[in-house]
Amino acid sequence: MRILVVDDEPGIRRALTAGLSGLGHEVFSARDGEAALLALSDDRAEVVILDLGLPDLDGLEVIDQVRRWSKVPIIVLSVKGDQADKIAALDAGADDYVEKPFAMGELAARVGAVFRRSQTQPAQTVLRFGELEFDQPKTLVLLSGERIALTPTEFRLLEALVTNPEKLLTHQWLLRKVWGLGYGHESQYLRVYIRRLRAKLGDDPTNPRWIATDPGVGYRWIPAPST
Amino acid sequence: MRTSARGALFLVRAQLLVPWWISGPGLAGLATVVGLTSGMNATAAAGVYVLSVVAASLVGRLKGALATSTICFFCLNYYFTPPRLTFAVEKGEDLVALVVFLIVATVVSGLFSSLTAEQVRAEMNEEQAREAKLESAASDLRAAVFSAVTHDLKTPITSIKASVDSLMDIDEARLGDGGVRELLEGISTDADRLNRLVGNVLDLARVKAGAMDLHLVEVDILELLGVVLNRIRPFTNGTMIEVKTAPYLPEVKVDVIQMDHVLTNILENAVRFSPPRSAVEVDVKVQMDAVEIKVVDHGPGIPNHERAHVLEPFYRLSRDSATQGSGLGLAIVSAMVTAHGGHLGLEETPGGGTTVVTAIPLRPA
Repeated sequence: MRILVVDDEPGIRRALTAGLSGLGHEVFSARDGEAALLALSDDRAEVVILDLGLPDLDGLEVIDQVRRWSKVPIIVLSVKGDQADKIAALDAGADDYVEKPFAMGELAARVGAVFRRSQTQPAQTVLRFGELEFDQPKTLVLLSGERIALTPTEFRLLEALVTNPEKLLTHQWLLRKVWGLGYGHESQYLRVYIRRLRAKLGDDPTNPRWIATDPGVGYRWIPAPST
Repeated sequence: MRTSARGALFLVRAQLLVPWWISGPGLAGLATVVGLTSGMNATAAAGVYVLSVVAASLVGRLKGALATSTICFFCLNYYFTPPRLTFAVEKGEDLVALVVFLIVATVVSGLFSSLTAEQVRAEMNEEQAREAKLESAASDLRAAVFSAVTHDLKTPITSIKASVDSLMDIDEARLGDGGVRELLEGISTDADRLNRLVGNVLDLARVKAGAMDLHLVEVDILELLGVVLNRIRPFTNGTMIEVKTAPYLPEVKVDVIQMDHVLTNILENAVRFSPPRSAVEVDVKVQMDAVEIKVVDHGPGIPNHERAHVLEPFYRLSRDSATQGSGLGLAIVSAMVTAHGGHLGLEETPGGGTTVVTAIPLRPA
C-alpha cells in the first residue's frame, strides 16, 4: 500500500522508509505539516504515519485539516507518557497511535489493521467472534448459542465496540456514541458498563479476550482472540 | 539547618549589624524607661537592669555587656536609689545593693557573652561538619551513580557501534546470513537496553527534581492490571501468574503511565526470580482505606539485612552480578508509589520468596 510518513527527524524517516519498503509498501515522506498536507492533496496515500511533534504545524492541526476532506487512516507516533496528546489526537480523528520507540513489527501490524478497516466497511449485520454472535437487526447476543440478556445501553455499548473491531475507541467517542452528544467526560459510566458487559460475556478484565483496555484512553474490541 | 543553629546565626547577624556601643546604651536606656514609667522601686529596677545586661551580653558580646552594666549602675543610682535624681546614697545598705548589682552584672556579662560566643562557634562548627559530611556522602553517591550510569550507557553504545561497523566493513558473504542476523539482533537488544536505561535515569531525575507531576485519572485497577499482565504473559517462561481479586473494587485515582510502570516492574521482577514451574500470585483487595496489590513470588527472596536497601537507587543485591540491572527499578517504583500517597512494602513470603505489597490510597493525598 502507499504510506505517507510525516516526521521531522531524518533518522526516523529513513528507518521507516527502509523498513516499510522492505515489507513491500510504497513509502513517501514529508518533514513538516505543510509538506504533509501538500503531499496528501497530490498523492493518494492509503495510510498516514504522523509524528505529533512537528516543527511548523501542530500534529493535531494536521489531523484536523486532513479530516476536512479525507478519511485516510492516520497512525500517530507519540512520546511515551503523553496521554493528553494521544487522546486529543484520537479525538481529532486519528485512528490509532504507536509509542516511540516502537518495534517495526508492531508498527507494520497497526498499519495493516487500520488499512483493512478502511477498506472493509462492515456490511454484515450478524457478526461472529468465536463462540460470540452479535445479531444487530434482532438486537440479539448469543454466547455459545445461549442468549445473553443485555440492557439497551449495554447493547449499544457492545454494538459500538464490535462494529469497530481493532479500533481504539476513546472514552469521549464511546460516551457520545452510546449515551449521546451531551456526554463526553463521564468515563465512570463507561467503566461501570464495561464491567457489567465483561461479566455477562465472561471476559476477565485481568486477562481480557474481547475487550482490551487502554487505561485512561479508551477500549478496543479484539475480533480474533489469540486463544 | 537546626533551630538552635539558626538562632545562633541570628545572634551573629545581630552582633554584626548592631555595634556594642549602640546596643549597650540602648538596652540600658530601655530598662530605665521601663523602670520609670512603671514606677518601680530600686529592687525591682535592679532586676530589670540585670535583664538588660543579659540581653546586651547576647547581642553586644562582652564589650556591650560591660558598657550596659556600667550605665545601668549609674542609672540605678541616679534614678532609683533614694535620694532619687542624685548620685548620692542615703543608706549604707543601698550602697551595698549597688555594689552587689555591679558585681552581678559584670559576672553575668562575662558568663553570658562567653557562653554565647562559644555556642555560636560550636554550632557553626557542628553545622559545617554536618554539611561537609553530607556533601562528601552526596559526592560519593554522585560518583558511584555517575560511574554506574556511564558504564551502563557506554556498553550498549559500544556494542551497537561495533556491530554496525562490522556490518559495513566485513564482506557479507564472509559473515553469512546467520552472522548478519546475530549482529542485528544484538543491535536491537542493545537499543532496547539503552532505551530502558535512559527512561529509568530520566524518571529518577524527574522524581528527584520533584518534577514528577501526576496526571491522576480514575481507573479500575483490575483493567490496569490486565493491561500489564497481557504484556508480560508472553515472556513468563512458563511461570504461571494467578490473580485473586475481591468481587468488587472501588476505583482509584492514579497516574496511568506511572502505575503501569510500577506494576510492570514488580511483576517482571517476580517472574524473573521465580523458579521453574512455580507460580506468581497476585492478590488485589481493599485494606483499610487503600487498594492493596500483593505480588507473591517463591524465588530466592531478599536477605533480611539487604531488604532495607533495595529501595535505594543503584543498590544491587550482593549476590547479583554487576551486569544485572541498573539497581534503579525499585527505587523509581517506590518513589512513584510514594508520589501517589501510597506505600511500597517488601516482605518475606512464608516458605521463601519475596512479597511486594503496593498500597494505593482510595483518596490520594
